[in-house]
Amino acid sequence: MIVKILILILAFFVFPKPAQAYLDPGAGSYIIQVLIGTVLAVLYLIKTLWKQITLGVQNLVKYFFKKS
Amino acid sequence: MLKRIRCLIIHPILFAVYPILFFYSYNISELRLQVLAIPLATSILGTLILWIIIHLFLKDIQKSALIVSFFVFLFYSFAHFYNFLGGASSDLGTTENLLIPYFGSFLIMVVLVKRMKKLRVATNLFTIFPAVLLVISASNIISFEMDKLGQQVPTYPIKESEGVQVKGSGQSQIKRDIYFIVLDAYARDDVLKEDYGYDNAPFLNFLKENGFYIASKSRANYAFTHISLTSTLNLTYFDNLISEFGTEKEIIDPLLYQMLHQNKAAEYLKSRGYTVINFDSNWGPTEKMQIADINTNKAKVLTFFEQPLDIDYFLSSFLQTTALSPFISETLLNSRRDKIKYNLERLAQVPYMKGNKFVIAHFLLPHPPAPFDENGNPIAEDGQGLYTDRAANYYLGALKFTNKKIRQVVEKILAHSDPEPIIIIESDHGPFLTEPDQGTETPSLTTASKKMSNLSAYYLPDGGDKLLYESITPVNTFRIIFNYYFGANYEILPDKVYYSWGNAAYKFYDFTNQIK
Repeated sequence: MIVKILILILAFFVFPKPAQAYLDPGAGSYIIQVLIGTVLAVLYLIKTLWKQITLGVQNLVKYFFKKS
Repeated sequence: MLKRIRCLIIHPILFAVYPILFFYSYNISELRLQVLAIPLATSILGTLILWIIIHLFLKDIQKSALIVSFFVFLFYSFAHFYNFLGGASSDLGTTENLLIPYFGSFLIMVVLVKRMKKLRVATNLFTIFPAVLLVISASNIISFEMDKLGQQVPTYPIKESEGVQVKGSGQSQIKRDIYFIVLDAYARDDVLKEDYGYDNAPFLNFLKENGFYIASKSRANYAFTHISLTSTLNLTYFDNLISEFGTEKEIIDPLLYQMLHQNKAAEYLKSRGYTVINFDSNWGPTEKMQIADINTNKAKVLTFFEQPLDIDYFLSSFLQTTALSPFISETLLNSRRDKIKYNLERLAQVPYMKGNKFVIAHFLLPHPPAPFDENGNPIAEDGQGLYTDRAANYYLGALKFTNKKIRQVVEKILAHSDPEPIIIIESDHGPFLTEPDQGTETPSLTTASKKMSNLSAYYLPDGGDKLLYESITPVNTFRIIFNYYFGANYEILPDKVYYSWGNAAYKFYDFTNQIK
């Protein structure tokens, strides 16, 4: 669901600019797309490594509880 | 299956393709699909070669792919990051100053990748990131092209109007050369005086002294070049088309593009033995005209192993967004400037060509970003934009340069043409002002009025100028000419002024009565 929403947001930034008799590099749109693409990739990373992340957090919590 | 796809290392190719598709997609309304072929092929090939070279050193396909992808990403994002960080007006200064941090981040990436152990995850990350972006750009392009396929150019989109019949039709039987010179965003003299404090009387008086009629209350019919030019060259408004196709620019734009390239004015004159000559404007829609018999093109931009490379408008603009821009930007900009000067020189030589000619010469002058000052010296276009103070400051210089050059062109054309030619010097719309409501959906009446106040100067010999009037709009230009010089029977349409803004270029507001 989150991915779908992000893709929709992303699609918003790819709308072509109006014809103004000169080509626009679209720097702002590009950067926003790259940022959103990064967010999606990071979400994927979290999903992929979820078990390891939760395991890591659990170990960390255990470690602190033991120490205290 | 999914696993198999995941195992494929395709991200260097995705990174090589995405920036080109993004740039195309962002400017899609001004471009044709054909422009993509060479950049895409070159980018993919270059990436593959680089990948092979790095692989020879690292002996690891995944690591070499990650390094290549990061390099390609940095390479194509260069100007985007530079502009994002503030561009020339920031502390960053020139583009060269970004090269060092760029190179540094690349080296860090190389070290990280070399030490990396979980390559599978990194590869997947590097695949998902560009894949999502690419899908969005590609789907936008596909939907645009599908719409285009479904459209057909109307056989003749002119509704029988309630206009006034032109008297004196077909009075002149001599076939004359016809010059249609479009000076993009050239303001009417009263706007120049009021907003720029510039008195354009010397140039206008020169034209008048040479027999030109200046329409002192002329207005553009539309606020955008592609709509305005297409309307003028097809002798029509787009009311009917809009009601048929809607106001979404993605739908109607390809149709306009076709109408511009197969325009009725050129078709009409071709059928009467005219040679249609289009001057490369260095702007996609009028860079080459499909209906033209001759498209002037000066193929001098870059050399590769001493061979000239013909770099078109798209590639030239795109290359300036890459990491090559610090090295080739000036060359590319100079080539654009050369093209304008070259076209102005060639235009003055048209009278020497045999036969009857219909010349379409669209100049991106004095349209911002200004390429020249008033003496023709190059100006840094970086950061000028359209509605900025910087653009406004340079506008006058470009306009004065245009005046000088057009004077020379007109003198030469008039001196060397026999019989006397027909010359139309028109701007497609008024200037880009710096008022906050300029370029918005609901500008003040004053702003809209200025935006629609264009230059209209006509040289119609042998009595043709008697049909002209102060408030003429471009839609009637060729109607009058065809009626008077070719015995056609077009009705003169009511002179309408349709304002629209960038985000809904086809949602027209009829300002005719308000700004009279």
